[in-house]
Amino acid sequence: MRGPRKGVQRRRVRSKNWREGENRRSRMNEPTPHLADARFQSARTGSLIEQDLVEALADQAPEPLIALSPGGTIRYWNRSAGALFGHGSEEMIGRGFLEVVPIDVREQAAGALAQAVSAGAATFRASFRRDDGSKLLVEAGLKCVRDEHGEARFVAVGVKDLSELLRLQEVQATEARFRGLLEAAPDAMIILRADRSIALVNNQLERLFGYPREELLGQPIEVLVPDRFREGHVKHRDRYFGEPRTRPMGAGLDLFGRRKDGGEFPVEISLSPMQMEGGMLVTAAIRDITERKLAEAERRQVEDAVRKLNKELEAFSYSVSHDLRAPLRAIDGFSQVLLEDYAPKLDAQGRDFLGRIRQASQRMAQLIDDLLALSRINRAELRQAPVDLSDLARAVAADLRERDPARRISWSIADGLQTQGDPHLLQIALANLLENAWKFTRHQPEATIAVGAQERDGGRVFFVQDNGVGFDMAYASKLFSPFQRLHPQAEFEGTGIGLVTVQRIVHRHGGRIWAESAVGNGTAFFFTLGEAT
Amino acid sequence: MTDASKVILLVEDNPDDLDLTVRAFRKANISNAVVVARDGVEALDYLFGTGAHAGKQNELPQVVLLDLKLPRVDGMEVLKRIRSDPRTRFLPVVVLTSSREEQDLVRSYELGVSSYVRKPVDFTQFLDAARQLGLYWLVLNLTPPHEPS
Repeated sequence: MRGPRKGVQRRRVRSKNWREGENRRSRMNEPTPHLADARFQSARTGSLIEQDLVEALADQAPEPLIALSPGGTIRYWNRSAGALFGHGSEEMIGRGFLEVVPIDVREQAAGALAQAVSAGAATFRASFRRDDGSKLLVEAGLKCVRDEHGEARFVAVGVKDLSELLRLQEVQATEARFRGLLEAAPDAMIILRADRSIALVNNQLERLFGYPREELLGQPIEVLVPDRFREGHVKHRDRYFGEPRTRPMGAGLDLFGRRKDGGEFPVEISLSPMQMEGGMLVTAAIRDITERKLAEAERRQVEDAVRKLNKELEAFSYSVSHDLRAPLRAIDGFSQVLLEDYAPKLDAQGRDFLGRIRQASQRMAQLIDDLLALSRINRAELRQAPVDLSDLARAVAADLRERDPARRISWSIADGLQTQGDPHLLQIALANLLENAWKFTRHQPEATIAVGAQERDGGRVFFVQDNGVGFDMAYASKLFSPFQRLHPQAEFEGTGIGLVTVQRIVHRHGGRIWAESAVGNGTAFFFTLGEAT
Repeated sequence: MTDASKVILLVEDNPDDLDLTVRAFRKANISNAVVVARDGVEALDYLFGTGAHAGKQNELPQVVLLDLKLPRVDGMEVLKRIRSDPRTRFLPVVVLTSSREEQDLVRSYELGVSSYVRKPVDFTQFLDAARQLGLYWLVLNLTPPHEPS
């Protein structure tokens, strides 16, 4: 900032000396003498050398120098000014200073000029774009030169190019932002120079590896790599610098970091190159995945255990399926044999007991079958396919009509209940719900069973509704527990496994099931199927 | 009503099931002789004239009623051996078992079973099943003549 001002002062001294040899009168007639005029005047007086000297000096000055008339007309414009602003003196001299400055600094410039003329000196800063689009920040120092009467003769303007400063500030701001980002990143970050040394690390990295950053900066990156991987790492690293691109490091490999204390931990690293003026930098984001690895191992263990358990369960139900029914067949069969072959030796009560034995064994067989079915549902792989619940419901209804053609039931099955799920399991679920409705409307002279869907809380809820006997909601919690029944066996047969099965199927689809009922007022079962909404 | 000269080979290890099955046949007026094998080995010996049946020229049964869970050699293995031997590959084999596990059904049909029947617990239903089995396999069903052994 001092430079240009000095320059102006120096020149002023010269011009003053030179002007002292001038005709003062003519200067008075010409109230705005200036360097540009000086050329003419000196040519007239023949003092060519002095004029050239001033010109040469001012043009040689590295600082842009401008002289204005007190009214603001550009009278002199040196070579540096031309270079800085991109317009030469031949273009600028004679133009109004205020009309050539950018419009948004015009007021400021006008103020500075007025201040310089009235108070002797002023400065102002302005940033603008050159014609080529490059950004420019300048500081202008204005100094008023007066004649011995104190009359303003011209205003010398020294311009300092602050663009470098601006750039530096921008770089600093960028760096500060970058550093802020680096520190705010959830991952440990490291920036590597082209010479493979560590340029920058963040707090997270210091913590993760247990090194204070001053021990890392400038070190080769391999200091963070376990010994046994170092050699390979150097090769990979050099290859990366050869063809840099953003990518995870060591795809498919288990990567490890090495702490200052020598401890190792599994990491995940992603790399990205940054082309900078000083060469390429590589940023590595490093994430400690110890927890994830542990969780994965745990999950694998659980999965293995579940698989094993499933296998055992499968073997168990296989054996149940084969072995548990055989004794029941014997109980039922030989009771029948007794009834047939020994009827004369039995009284009515004896025959009744045998009948009950047979009923009990058949019921037991049904229980076993239902339990096996439930266990199959738990084990079955869940398929995903488009399913039309309307079609499924109509098929079940047709079955039920056939089972008891005498029943009068008005079915109302909504069309287009399209969903996604396991067709076989959903068939079982729907069949259970409809059989329930069918069973519990048995005593209704005009039974109605409806299947449909409604929107609730932004999701689709399917329902199966009947006008049957209903149940007391106080016992609703027992509905989905195995072997729990809300009606006596004599009134409505059942094993108490059907709804458990339905619930299991709904849960396996990620859905929910609940019931609404009142004694004598029918029951509605609602369920969702975890559909994406 | 049936060609009583033809025997039924009943492969069954459970004596209760055995008695009830035989009774069901009698009740259904099936008078064919029932040859009983109590495990897979006995069944194969009978069919192929090996072991206890070495040297005997047993006539092939009209139908084999085969339980799956058997001591020593199980039903699946028996079925496999029957189907892989030219002497018995056309022999009607009906799996008669407690299970309706899908894996049993699939495997049986893969091995070429003729029919798969689940034994009902309700003896009345079992009688009905036995009657229909007898009618179908002993009366209605035709098989190609046996190839010479």
